[in-house]
Amino acid sequence: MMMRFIVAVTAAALLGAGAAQADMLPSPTGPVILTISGAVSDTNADGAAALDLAMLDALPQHQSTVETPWYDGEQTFSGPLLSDLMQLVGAEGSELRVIALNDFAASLPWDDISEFNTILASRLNGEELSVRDKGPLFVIYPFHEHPELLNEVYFGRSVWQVARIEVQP
Amino acid sequence: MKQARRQIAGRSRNKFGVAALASVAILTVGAAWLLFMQLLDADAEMDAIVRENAVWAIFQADRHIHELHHYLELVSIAGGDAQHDDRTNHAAMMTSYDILYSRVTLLERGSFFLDLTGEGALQQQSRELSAFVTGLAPQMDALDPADPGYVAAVEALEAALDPWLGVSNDMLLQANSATNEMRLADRLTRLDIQENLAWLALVLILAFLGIFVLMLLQLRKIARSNQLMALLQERSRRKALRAQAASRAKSAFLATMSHEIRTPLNGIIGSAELLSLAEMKGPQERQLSALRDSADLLRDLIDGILDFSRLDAGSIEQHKAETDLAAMGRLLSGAFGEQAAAAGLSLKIDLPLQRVQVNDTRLRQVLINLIGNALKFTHEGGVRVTGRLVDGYFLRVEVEDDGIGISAEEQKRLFKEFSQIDGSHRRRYGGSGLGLAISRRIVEGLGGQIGVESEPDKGSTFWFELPIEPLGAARDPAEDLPTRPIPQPALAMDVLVVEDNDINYTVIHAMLDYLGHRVTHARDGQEAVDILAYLTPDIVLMDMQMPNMDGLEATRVIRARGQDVPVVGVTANAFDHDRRACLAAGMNDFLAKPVTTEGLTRVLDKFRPTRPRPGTVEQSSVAAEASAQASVREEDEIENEQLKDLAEALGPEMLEQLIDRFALEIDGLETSLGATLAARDAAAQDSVLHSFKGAALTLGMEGSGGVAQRLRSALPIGQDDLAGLLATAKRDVIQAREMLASMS
Repeated sequence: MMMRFIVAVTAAALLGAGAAQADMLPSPTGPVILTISGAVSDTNADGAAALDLAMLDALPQHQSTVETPWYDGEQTFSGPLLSDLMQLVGAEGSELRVIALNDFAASLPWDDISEFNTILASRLNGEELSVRDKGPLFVIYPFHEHPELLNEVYFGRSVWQVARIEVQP
Repeated sequence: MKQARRQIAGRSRNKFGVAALASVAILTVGAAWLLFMQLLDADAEMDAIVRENAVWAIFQADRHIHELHHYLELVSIAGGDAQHDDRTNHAAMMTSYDILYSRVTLLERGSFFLDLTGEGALQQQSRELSAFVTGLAPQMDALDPADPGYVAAVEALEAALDPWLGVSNDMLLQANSATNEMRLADRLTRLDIQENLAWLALVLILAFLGIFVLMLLQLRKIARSNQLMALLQERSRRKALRAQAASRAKSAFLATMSHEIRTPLNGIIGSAELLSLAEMKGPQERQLSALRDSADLLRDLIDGILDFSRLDAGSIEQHKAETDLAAMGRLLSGAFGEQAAAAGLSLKIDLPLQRVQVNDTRLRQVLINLIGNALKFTHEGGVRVTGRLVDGYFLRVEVEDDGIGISAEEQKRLFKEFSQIDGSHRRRYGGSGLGLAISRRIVEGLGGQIGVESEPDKGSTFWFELPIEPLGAARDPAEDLPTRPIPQPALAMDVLVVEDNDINYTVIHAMLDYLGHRVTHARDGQEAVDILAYLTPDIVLMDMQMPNMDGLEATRVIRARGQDVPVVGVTANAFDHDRRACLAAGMNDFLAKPVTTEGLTRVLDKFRPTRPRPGTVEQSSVAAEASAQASVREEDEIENEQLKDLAEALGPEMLEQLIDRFALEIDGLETSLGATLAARDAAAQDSVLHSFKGAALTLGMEGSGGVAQRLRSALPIGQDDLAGLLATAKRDVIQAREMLASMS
């Protein structure tokens, strides 16, 4: 408990310093579930943007009802568009390096988020995603709109248990 | 025939082969299509299910079991020594479990290329592993590092997890080998399909090759039959050529034979005529008469055959000339009048008073044939010829007789070659029987029709219709110039006879002798040319076919030397082109063989010198020029002679008319030459002057003629020259009229 407190204080101090330094991105109030680093201009941490669920929920929410190899039948995922998220943190680059909790990583070309309504889902059928349910965040491609994406390459890019994103310049 | 049948059989076999191979090709293509569709279907079926990689999923699960095991171990070894580390390790351990949890739930799913839902060992293990991991959840959630039994609980979990490490490893190995097998099976299936496709392709290629070969064979056959056809065409073309050659040979044979027959016939007729000139008595006279008649008949027959063979060549001259039909009627009346009167028949020829454009020679020939026939087959009564214009553009002539008539049966054969109505008639009436056939060919050749209406013993009416071009009414016959009387007695002339045949020469010599002329003889063209070098006769009678040098060549040599002595060709060839050849070589006229006194008289009169020959002095064009330049006094004298001759021959009225006409021609000359002055058209001037010179000399006006001739050598002429010529001509006319007045 003490440990958690110390971490929280330290984080708040760091974030406050970051906010004072540069930009308008507010500091997270809840547990940080996503850190965006790399070619990011709007930060709230040391050269990175740390986000909690509330900040993600504040962005426009998109729904994708799709069939995936990891669930039975069609499931409805919801969350912000990756492109909106990138705009929020002022990120611009050639690709996204999306890294999972278990250090699984995949590279998404920038086109994948600018051309398609690719979302970073935080909810499945309205329920928050737990780690056991491959949460907290799940990259979901619009397979229902683009059946041509139904192949191993895009399955590989559909990273789940997303923890960090590095924006490659 | 057999070959053709074999070809047809071969062709149908070929067709069958092509059809069979085409069916094979179509079936093959169909089978290939099916296989291809199968392949597509299989792929589509695979794509329909969204799949993940099973090996990857199992590997991840295996990895996270090991990771969880590692954290459990870490926590149990550390025991409760360091609270802080425990808490960090605990959080990591929990995350590790959560991730493992999310991983194992996937293993129960069927969305892998490698099916994990079946009954195999791998599938069984997957289910058990999944159940074990998810079953740990309550124990994991219950863990609390603050709990005194925490380490013991973690150790217990570690012990429970331990055997699953081996299981997951085993699963990984199994999945890997199963995937490999699946890949192999897949590859084999594809290989199978590919092999089948390859076979189909091979069959297809073979089928197309077969079709290609059969087509090639067919093409070769077609080419061969085309060749055969070309060969047949060539053969029939040659046959046609041979037939044409045979036809030409026949015509040539006829022409040659006619010539060969005419030459001895010439001798016969000439001799008979000579004999008839001598006094003959009693039976000899009758025999001579029979001889002459037979010879004449023979000549007619040969003429008919010649004519017919000429028509056989299909060459009827379409040449048309302005013809006075009434005048032609009068001519025919004159020609047949005596014959009809002698037979006690009336002959009435009534052709329309009309001038038309028609082939007058041929029209006359048809009329002569029909009238001659009618007279021949009529014993009492008469022959009536009536003509009229039908629709303005056809001349219809009917020749009606009171003769023996012709039955309907005979009428059918009437216009055919050599078909005199029967043998008895032929004997009784004579003739070649070609007359009507020739007439029919002529009339039809000129685009007309010919026919007959007749009944036995009631006479016949032969009719024909010919296309003509009407030109208007004929001149009144009263206005016609009286025909020129034959001048008698004849003035003796020097005649050079060029003839290699002794009989012919004898005949001609005797005739000329009888007519009072002097004869010199040359045996061939070369001799004639030699003689003419020192002798200038009044006329040369030139045979055509002679050894050494023929008549045409001799004439050319004579003309080339500048001698203008009249040369008359004596030819047995009746063809037009022979006559044209005569004139082209420079001959002035021609005389048909066999030579008769009448024919001789006509030709000799035509070329009789216009004035007495001055002894043996050579007459040449140079001398004529010189005399034209002589004094007016001399001209007058010469003119006197010429005009006197003409007056005697033609009568003063006729001469006056001729002088009037000449005066008119002077006016015409002024117009026609005047038109050429500006253009300096030498050719046109030469033509006009030549014509005028001829007219002037005919009337003995050598002053005008001389001037005209002189002007011809200084073309083109000018205004002054024309004025001089006109003045001379007008003076000549005045003098001629004065002289004529003094004579009458």
